[in-house]
Amino acid sequence: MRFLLLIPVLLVPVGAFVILLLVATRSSLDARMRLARRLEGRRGLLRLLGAVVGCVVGAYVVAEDTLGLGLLLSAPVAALGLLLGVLLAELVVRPPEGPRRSASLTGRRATDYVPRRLGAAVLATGATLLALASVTSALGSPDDLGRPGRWLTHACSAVETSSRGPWPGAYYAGPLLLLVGAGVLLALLVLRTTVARPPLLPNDAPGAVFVPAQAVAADHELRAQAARAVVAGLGVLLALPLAGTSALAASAVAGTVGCAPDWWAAAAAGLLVVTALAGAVLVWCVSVLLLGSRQPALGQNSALR
Amino acid sequence: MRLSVDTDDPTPPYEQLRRQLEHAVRLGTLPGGHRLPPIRQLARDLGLAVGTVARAYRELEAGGLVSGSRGGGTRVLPAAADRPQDVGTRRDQAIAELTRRYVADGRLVGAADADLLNAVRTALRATGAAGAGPRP
Repeated sequence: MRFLLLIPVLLVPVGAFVILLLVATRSSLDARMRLARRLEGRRGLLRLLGAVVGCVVGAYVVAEDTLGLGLLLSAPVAALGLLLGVLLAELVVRPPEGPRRSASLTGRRATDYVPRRLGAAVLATGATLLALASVTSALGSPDDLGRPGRWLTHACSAVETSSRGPWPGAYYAGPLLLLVGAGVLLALLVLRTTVARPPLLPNDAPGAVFVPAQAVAADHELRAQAARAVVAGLGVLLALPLAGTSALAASAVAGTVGCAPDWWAAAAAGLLVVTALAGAVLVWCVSVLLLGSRQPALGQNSALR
Repeated sequence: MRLSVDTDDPTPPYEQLRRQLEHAVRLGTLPGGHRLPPIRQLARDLGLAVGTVARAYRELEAGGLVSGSRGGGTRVLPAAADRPQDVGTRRDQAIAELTRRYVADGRLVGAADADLLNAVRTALRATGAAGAGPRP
């Protein structure tokens, strides 16, 4: 029954991804992409399906929340759904079957398609999350019911201790890192599939052996679009938990300032800076998912040669 | 540069690939050190079996045109291209032979000279501008 109460909450992410689909579909109607639009429409539906399923499962995880764990895991779960949708969309592209076929002699690499600045930001976010979760797990202590890593305990003196929670220790970091690890592996698999899949080119057109330059460009852009969605999805998967983890840690550290050394205040401020940066990466990734990013100039990329 | 395969052609697909790649290497279109696409990528793009593409690569390797290494991919050998002074002649010969075949086949289907020329222009437009020199 609690799940039913979340229907209004569900409408927001679902609505957002419907807008994403509409924007993606409109951009795919660009003249350069017309040759592949029929298949691209099907692929767009699969991506939407993945995003919607991810959001629904993410909302369910929130509904089944225990001590904030569901809230922390909901974004990674939703991002996993998005990545699965992109994977399915890549898998529906079948190898050519007509008698006359052509292929480029240029090897494709993931780096041809991954947006560099966003990729670097997501990589830094992942490294920060791993480092922070490791530190908070190491510093955490059991709470009053013995759940590991839910409190931050500091010995003020030989007889007095100060405990503050919730602390993002092993209780939260363990499941989170497992989910994040699965997400990173899935993202790498989707990228590999995106690069390796056959081209999205019409094979039944007369004289198909002469592959129109527009179709080659469209195929490149569709791979780049998928790679952007993967990197941005991975960014959401990493940035939201990092923002939550650092905010929670900052709150707990700041709460023990009276007893703890002075530098803990500086640590709390540093954690708030991490929260703000993670928030910025999150906004960037969501805007890439919803609005797309600037297309590369045609003809300048090696994959088009 | 693109490779093409016609599965209706009586020539086996691996031989079609080998022949096109040999021309490209000898004429310097694929320069020494150029890395050929991975076998699996080319096979998937062309809808062929991996073994078909692997055989074409093996034959090129046996002919001393490319060298393959595990992890390093298959690369064109620097000395595989013809001497620069021979490349022009060889390219002209290859173009003349291909054109002769095209015109002969076109005549068989009743194409007029204007039809043949228009078809060439259309194909050139469809494949995009190649520029003055060889493309990687």
